[in-house]
Amino acid sequence: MSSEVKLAVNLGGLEMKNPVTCASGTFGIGQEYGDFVDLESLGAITSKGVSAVAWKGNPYPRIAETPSGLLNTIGLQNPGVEAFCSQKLPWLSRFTTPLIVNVAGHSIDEYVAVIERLEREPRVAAYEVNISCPNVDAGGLALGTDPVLAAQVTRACRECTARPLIVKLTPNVTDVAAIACAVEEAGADAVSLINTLKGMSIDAHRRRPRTSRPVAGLSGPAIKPVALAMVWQVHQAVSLPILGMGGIRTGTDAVEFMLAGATAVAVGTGNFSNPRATAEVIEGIEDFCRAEGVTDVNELIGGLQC
Amino acid sequence: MPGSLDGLRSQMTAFSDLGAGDLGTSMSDEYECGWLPGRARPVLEACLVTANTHLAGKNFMMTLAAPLTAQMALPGQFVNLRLLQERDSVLRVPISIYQTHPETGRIDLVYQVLGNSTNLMSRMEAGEGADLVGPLGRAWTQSGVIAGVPKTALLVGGGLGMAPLATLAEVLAAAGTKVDVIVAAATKKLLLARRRAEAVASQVLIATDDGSEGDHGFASVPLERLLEKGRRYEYAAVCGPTPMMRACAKPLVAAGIPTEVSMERLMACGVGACLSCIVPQRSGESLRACVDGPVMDASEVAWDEL
Repeated sequence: MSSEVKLAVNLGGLEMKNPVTCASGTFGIGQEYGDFVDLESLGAITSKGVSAVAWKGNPYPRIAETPSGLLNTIGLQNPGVEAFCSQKLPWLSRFTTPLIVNVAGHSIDEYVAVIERLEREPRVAAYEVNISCPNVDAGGLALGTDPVLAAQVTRACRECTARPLIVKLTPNVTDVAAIACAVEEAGADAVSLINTLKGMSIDAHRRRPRTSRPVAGLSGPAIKPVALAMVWQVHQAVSLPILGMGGIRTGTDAVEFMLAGATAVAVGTGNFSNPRATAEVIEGIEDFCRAEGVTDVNELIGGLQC
Repeated sequence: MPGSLDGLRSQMTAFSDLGAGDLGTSMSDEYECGWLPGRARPVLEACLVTANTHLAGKNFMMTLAAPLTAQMALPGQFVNLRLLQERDSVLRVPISIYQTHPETGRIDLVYQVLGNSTNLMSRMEAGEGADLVGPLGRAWTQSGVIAGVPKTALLVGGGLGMAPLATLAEVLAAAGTKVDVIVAAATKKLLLARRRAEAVASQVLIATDDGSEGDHGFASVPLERLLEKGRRYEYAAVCGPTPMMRACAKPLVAAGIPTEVSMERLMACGVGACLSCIVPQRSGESLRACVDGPVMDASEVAWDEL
């Protein structure tokens, strides 16, 4: 059973040598994990969110641990697109792994400004438009919960680029499939889901929330069942490829997302307890395929029997 | 020779001879400053508990067989520990290194039982496994406040804050520095590393919150007396609870003494990616305690925003 497993996938035009990337905001641009993972081995690197100008992020405390989960309210702290291009991008030139830049904004104009600047950077392979961050006031989540607004952002971004355009969806909606349909209609090449779920942690003795913004975003294994259900719902509703994420720590977790309909997967919070998580998920997918006689990982996509 | 500067230098040379990893960036180049050798790149290391003893109150000391970390760690660095039995946890536990024993490949961690993870830690026995990411963070003297070996130094430790300072006292004394140490704690029986300090310091002053020994109050009480008496130091290092560090850093900085503090913050990744452990600076920027610290220039910290 030592035959090669074909691991390459195509995520809406983005060629990945295997289905695994990192979830935005958990991995920097990879530099921080270069001591633990060969970044060349990843299917893609997804950057921390980048906005038109620098964002300071939210006050401390920004995280709280919950059973099998992590609440965060980082608030998309980043140095802005210009500093991203001049200070962060050059370091990535030593690798050939495709780079997906996560794009954040308070308004449609800001998303467009970020993409227009990044269009001049050949190192960028694709965009992930973040219309789903629960930790900023304007933009972010507000644009991702209304199908009309979600379509407007997508259309405006689509007009600036021919590169693969992935739109990142929030689980904080009644019907995620309706949002997915709207962004598909507006020209997205793929969707990624799920972003964090709104959640809260309270210190009863101090009668205070544990994070500086009382409502924060929940990630980790606690949200994996929610993420699987939403990937499956979206897979049934649209023909777009899906980048699935939410609590993935192992190859088997990743395979579950692919069976539910994901073409590729992202490892997020799992990087914190295991800095080698991305590499181990790739190995785990390959091991699963070998053991199950799967010769091409694409056979798994949407293969759920029910 | 865990305590000597030459010992540390030879350890560092030995490590670079290992050619430990060609992946990613060399943090030792990026953060070369102070007079200790540049820090090594962190590793993910499986380790074994060899001893775990109760010290006093909620304080415990765990000894781990972790040979790579034991060789590489500099005073002031920390490890991010994962307890293999704890399935509900998505984060590692960051703990500063109390002492390294390169000749036996062991490290000692002093910790306080505060929550689920440290409670579980306190019940671990010799022979149990764990894994760690380390050594992490900037060591003492690496924030850039001093360039050479200081002639005189004052080290101030409150509670567990003495843990990262005890080895620094030994290293400084071995390099010829005249070291004064203030050891403070809530009560007499919780005074940490007092004997290690007494073995190398020219004087050791005690303060306790309850007045059970030495000055009645924070470490800042004997500190301010020393400064009032006109004692001047070429270097000061402070570690302890934030209110204690604030109370000590202000008079030291006001006296023009190059002062470093070691910041304890809620932390997720430990490698600079997630931006959870930020420490606001007077410049308006923020630093990450995990990679830009934990050791920082006390005069740059925005103490009133903490």
